[in-house]
Amino acid sequence: MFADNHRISHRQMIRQLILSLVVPILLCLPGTHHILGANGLLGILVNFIIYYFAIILLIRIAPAYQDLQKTLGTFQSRCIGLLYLVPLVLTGAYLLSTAASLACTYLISGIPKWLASLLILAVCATGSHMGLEKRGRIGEVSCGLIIGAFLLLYLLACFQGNSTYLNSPVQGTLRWQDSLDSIYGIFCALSFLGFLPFLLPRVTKPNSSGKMIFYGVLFLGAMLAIALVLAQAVFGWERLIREEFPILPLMAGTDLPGDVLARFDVLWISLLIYGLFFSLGSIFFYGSHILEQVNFQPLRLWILLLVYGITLNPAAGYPIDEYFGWLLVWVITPLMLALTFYVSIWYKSRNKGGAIQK
Amino acid sequence: MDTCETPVSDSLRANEDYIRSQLDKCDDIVIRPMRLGDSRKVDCLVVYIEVAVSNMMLEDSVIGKLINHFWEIPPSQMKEFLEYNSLGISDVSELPTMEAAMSAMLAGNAIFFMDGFNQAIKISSKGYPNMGVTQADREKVLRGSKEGFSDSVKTNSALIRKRLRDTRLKIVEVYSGVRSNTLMHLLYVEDLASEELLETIKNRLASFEIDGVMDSGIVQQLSEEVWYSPFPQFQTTERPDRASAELLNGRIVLICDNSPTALILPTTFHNFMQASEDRYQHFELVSFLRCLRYAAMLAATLLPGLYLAVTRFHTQVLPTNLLLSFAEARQGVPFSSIVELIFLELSFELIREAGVRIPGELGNAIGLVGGLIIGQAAVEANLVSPIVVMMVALTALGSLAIPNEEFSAPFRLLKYVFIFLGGFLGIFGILLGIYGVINHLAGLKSFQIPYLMPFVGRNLDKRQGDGILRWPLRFMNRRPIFANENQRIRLKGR
Repeated sequence: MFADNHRISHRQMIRQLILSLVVPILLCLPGTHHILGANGLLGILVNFIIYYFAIILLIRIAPAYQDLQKTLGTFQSRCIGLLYLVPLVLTGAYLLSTAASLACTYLISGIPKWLASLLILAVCATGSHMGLEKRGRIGEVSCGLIIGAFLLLYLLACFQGNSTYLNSPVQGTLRWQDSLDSIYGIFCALSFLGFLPFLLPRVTKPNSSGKMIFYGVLFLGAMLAIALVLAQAVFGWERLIREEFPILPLMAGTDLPGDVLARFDVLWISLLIYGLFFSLGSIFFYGSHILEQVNFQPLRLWILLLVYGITLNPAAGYPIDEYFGWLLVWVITPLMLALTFYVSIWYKSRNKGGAIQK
Repeated sequence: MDTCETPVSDSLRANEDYIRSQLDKCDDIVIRPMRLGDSRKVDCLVVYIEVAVSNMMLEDSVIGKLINHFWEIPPSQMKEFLEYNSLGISDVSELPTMEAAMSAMLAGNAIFFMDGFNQAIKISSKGYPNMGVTQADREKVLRGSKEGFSDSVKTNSALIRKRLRDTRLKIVEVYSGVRSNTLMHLLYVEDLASEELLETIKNRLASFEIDGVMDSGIVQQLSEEVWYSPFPQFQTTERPDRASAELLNGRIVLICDNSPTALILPTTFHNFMQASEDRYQHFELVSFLRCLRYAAMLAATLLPGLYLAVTRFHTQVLPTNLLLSFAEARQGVPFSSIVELIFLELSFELIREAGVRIPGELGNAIGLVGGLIIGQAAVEANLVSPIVVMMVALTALGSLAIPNEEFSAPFRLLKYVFIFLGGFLGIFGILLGIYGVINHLAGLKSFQIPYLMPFVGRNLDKRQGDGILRWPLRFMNRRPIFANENQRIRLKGR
């Protein structure tokens, strides 16, 4: 009768998915990373097709992730589980670093980054092991507010745009190299959908969730596409290609009517950072969940320490913010693909006739 | 019968010895031996608490009638008379053990023993003195009944029965407190409340053993799932109409003897933001008032923290004129804005606490004196700035606008957390606090119901129309999630 079945609804799942990905995608994808203009839009369209099929595959292999130990055996499941933690820890460090940098730059200048990171880590990690239902509820409560705020931002930004900026000849040219970069960049950003099979066994009616997940991907793609168009309309191509995070100046320049406050950038940035908190919480949740599956719960604390350590300690003089893009493209995404295919092939070969379920 | 219990003996002497040994030095309890029957040859004994039982000799009292009748019948008929309750007394029951007899006597009944009869007879009487039905001071309404619960559990149950005259309203007696032996009533509507929920509540009540239950607050604290949360997981009410309405929603009401506060369970965040009269008024007004209450809740929690965050860290967001007036108002104030705000907030808490403790009308006077005179004097003495007085006043109004006083308490506490977060970490701190609070609330459940319903789990609780915005009553045809699935329709034909 009540919701205490340790499962989440499609609605909670989709909101969780959108809220986990929307801020990192909007914040980090556009800009100097080639995901701009017509190439970016093409990348979004192509990825809709790719992920349409990827989601079908992920739903089919989801039963394998219900009990990894049963599917792969203890040793293998532990190895696979630990490998799945690599993308989580690296992404967690990147998100933590980004959130702390944004906070220190725009919200609270004067406190050291280590303290801001520590506070964010403490808040986001608290209760992250307390079940999927709880995350579903946070997602359900927060998603409307965050998405509503972004839509309001888009609406207000429309009035600041200049349509002539959209007709820039440079922007109008589709170049193969840039297009491929965009396609692969967006594919990499969405590769975190590879964690969906861990979630799906805990969703009510998992087999019928494909449509909802695809709607989620469409929504994320649409949000990104609007951001790309608006950013170009407001700043023009020449400025846009020099911005690292174009969404930030877009926010800085967008005010609410009524002259209630002089500037609203603090409000928008706060929403952005709140979204990053949720993404970070999702990282810790999945880390915790995977460790639980492979009976490595004591390592939970190590995930936090690793994330914090990587955030604060530059590798060979480079902070995580600078080399995460390379990691995402060359390490995280290939690793996610490899792990997904490995589990899927193993599961298919072992589960002929439903042997594993029995 | 429990093996360690003492059965009521045939011999009145044995029973009397037992009673006298148990009630040694209990001078408030009367042990009255008497000889009854038409020839005055049957030894009897009545035991009762002096103030709790009507004068025995009065003809119109139950026990008076019984004794008077026993003077007129032969001893041979007395036993039969008792066995078949020939007087037709409304509340007479036989008790087989001395422990049950003692317990019934301590509950305010008279206990009658007769030589040769191995049962004690419980005869209900007026019971302990109590205040009777009074107004519900803590939940005042403009429209609706003014009746409030009293201290007596039976009176309180009767007030609910008066409103729900249906045999499907069940009232189950539960005792708690090893020494206080406090009677509690669990009320539910049979086909609306979930059996599973009822069992959970009974198990939760049985899960602790305490010496005394003086108020429902003790039961509440001992039964809450997340004991460290400042957010109440049981709703409280002093209004029988509210309790009755919630019973119709499929919820369960727990009334505790000696407490005018009933517990309603399970409960959600949103339940606390609903006032008793929300059902009695037009939907437009109710929707507006609910929005106002949510805004008030946010103000009560966040306003001082936000003020500090903006004035200390993010002055760029304020229009220049406003910023200048803030600066001007603070001229000459010797303290930092955090100290200033905390000083005034604590002063207000002090006034509030003093107002509650001071008897009668003086309490209101203290509020006025404190609010107006001390605030004015503090501004004139340059101890605080007028803008801070305004912030504190708005915060206080916000917390008072939350319909349930118990629910406003966590926000009063959180306010200080946000003052520190906003004061030392600016908006970043506020953001951390908000995420932390939502994180905590998302993990709370009250008897399996997520605390954030109906903002979460809408697929389970759809089309109820009783969220922040309330639908017109004619469209609110469904009961909330608390009610059994097959009994969700409450209104037909409109």
